[in-house]
Amino acid sequence: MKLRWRMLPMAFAAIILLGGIAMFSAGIVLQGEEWAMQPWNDTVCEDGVLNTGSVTDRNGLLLTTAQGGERRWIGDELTRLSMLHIVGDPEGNIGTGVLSAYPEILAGYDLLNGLYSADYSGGTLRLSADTELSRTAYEALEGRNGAVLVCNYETGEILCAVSGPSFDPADPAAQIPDGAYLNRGISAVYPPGSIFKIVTAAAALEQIPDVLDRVFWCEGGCYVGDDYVSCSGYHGEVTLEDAFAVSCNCAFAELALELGGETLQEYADAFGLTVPQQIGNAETAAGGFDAYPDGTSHLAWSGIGQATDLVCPAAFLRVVCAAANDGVAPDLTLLRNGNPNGGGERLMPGDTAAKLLEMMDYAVSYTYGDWSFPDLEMHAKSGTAEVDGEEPHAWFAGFVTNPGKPYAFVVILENGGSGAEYAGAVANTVMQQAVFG
Amino acid sequence: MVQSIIRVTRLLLPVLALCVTLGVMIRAFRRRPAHGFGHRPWFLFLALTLFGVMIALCITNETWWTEPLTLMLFIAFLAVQWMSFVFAGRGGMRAELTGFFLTDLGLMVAALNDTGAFHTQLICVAAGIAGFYILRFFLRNPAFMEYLRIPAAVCCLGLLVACLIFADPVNDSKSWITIAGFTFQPSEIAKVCYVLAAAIPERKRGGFKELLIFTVFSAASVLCLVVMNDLGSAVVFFCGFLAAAAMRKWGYPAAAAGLLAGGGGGYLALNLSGRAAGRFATWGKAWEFANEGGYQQTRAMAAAASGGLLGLGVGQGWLRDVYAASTDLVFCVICEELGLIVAICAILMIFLTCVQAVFAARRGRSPYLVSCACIAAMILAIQAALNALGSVDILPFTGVTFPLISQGGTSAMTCWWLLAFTGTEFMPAFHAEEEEETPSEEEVEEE
Repeated sequence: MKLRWRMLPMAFAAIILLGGIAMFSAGIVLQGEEWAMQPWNDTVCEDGVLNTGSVTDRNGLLLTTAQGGERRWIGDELTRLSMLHIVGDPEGNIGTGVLSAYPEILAGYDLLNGLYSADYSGGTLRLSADTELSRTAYEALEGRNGAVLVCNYETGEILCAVSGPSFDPADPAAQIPDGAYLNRGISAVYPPGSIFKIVTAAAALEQIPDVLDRVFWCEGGCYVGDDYVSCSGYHGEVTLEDAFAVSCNCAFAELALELGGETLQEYADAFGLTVPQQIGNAETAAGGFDAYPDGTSHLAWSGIGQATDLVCPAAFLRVVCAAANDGVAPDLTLLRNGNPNGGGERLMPGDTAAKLLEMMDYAVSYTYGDWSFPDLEMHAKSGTAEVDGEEPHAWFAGFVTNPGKPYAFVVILENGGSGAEYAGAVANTVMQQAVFG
Repeated sequence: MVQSIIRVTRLLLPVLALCVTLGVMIRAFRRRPAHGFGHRPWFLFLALTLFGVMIALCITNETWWTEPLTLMLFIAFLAVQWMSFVFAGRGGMRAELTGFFLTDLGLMVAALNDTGAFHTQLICVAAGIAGFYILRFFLRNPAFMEYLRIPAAVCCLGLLVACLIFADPVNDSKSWITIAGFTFQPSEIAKVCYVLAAAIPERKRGGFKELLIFTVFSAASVLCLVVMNDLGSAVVFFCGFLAAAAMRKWGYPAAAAGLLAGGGGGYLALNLSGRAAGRFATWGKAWEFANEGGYQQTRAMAAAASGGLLGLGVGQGWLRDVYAASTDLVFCVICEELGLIVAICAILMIFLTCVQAVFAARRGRSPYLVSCACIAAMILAIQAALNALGSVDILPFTGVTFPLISQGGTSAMTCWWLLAFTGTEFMPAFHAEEEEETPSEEEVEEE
């Protein structure tokens, strides 16, 4: 046997060495970012908290930056308060803030340089949110607990995600109000009240062929079995459009009973209201919808957005976007150009979306009044969600179709009273800024 | 100033490392000894020197004028490199280039750890380089070296037994002996003795009796290491045995028997040694046990990934603060501070040592020298594999040192001696008539 064939064990060891290093190198290329972004990585973290990276708003206004391990904030307090829940806090308590959700961008990781950055400032993350719009929304909340979400329904870019109460991240001694770490627009769920009638209406339009020709009878309430379902007023004979505009509980109770609990649940699931939805690296809270047995008052109430229905405002924003965008909900993003390929999910057929758009337009002109939203081509639905023993939650969800301003919004005021009156007023203030600002 | 040095060096060091590695690669695949310009690769050596200067600048930045000793010592080491270059023989500087490149990295690791460690490392490297040239001188006469086989075997077993008796247990392992204030690791020196003893003798080659004695000697060495609870070194010796056995007549059956015995022994050792079993329990699952058994590996991988391809810059990493970073995790320290490119170059250097050994079999005039090169290359490759791949959870984490880079005086010294056995095929022979011999596709026929 030739001497060189007697070197196989050594050659084998050399090949193991080279093969193993090839495996490791592949690991660095494919998973390097994941390996590096650990809370114990002292290059970018201190005591488990990311201490590098800068965040700007959509116009490049620097909101926060970290140099030499010390985080600094923009000088204006109102801006800090209004942008807190979208930027996040340095300790990472606000999980949906970009400081927590996008550590790899803020750390400035790339394969060539790893986590090296010449001035130790890390990477820069550009938000899709607009500072002026957020300031307006925060002021419009007037210290009430709640949230204002505005997005572009074509690109999915979130322009405003203000949540109250807030606190000043630049002031470590600040008294932090209860629940201030919660982004109420993304991480909280509420009973939806009448805004859920958008879902019930969509199901009825698709599942009941002659629903647009029907006439419903409302005499201020109706009986389902022995239980009474009350309505907001005496509406008499109403069509579906009328019932949607005046938010007639009797008509929608009848529709819910006809559709059945399982059908309604299918629509709630298909619209993404019952499971967490991704907003880039962040995630919405999961809502809930229970399919009640046929013929029960619970089923009737669940079609009106009461019973045990729960909805996350950001998840409902997707439904509103779909109604405005020919049935397609774009992938929501917190980053500027965060959805460059225009990815999205079709939630409903185009003709259903078109009909919903008409109905929301009619609701504004017939019930809320066009004069309430001067110069805005507003399409919306209000909701006043009853809460046991407390003031109801006020909702207002919709979109505008002003040229070049494809913006959808959801406003929720915790225990805020009438949706049309109070949340509608906030929506008008915010959308005036968004469209004409 | 510091940042400027880091900005420049983190870009230049990978380029220079690639130049040196490429140069060694070209020379490893060369079929004939270099003559004329190629005999002394000026460009290659300039790149290596520049690499060393950059490392020296980085480890002494800001302190070079207040504490000039470190810089002066590093410059002295670079001077030694140039002396070896100027006086290089026909051997072609291949092993030396590998040694100097890896030693530059090793000195960097030691200097960043602490100044005392750097001085110890440098003294041991000096002893290693001196031993390298002494061994090279005697290896020119393989017939003489063969006489050292029995003394080397006795010395190897003697060192291991002495370790077994006199060593103080550190981390459950009896690997260290302290004499007159100096602490050293006898098993490292035993590796060199093992190479000398296990190589194929020119006469009696292929004899069954010789194979039997060699196998018993190897088994005794491995057993000593297992009893010492130095399982990493036991694996290294066992792989040395496989390399040496395969070169003999009836060697493959002996190696197969050895594998069976080794496998059984390894299984027993794992069951008897709780520490080793603990390391095996987390093998491949380091991220699942990130704060328990996989603590060191996950930190090492996070740090290695942090460096990317170009590294964070010398002295800018944090992995050095983790336990055993300068020894067991040193590969990832290099990844973190100098980048993946330099780390891969270090691995390629060891791989090329193996390539040279394979090529030596085609050209080598002496089966003794060829088998020495083969066993030494095997030991270096296995050490590098266990260290580098163990720290990143591809192989079990055994705590074996990386040749010449891991901090440790005895290890650095003996790795230089092991390098002396490699790349010897173009070395001028002791006898004048052999000097004219043309390397050929020499074969060793079975008797």
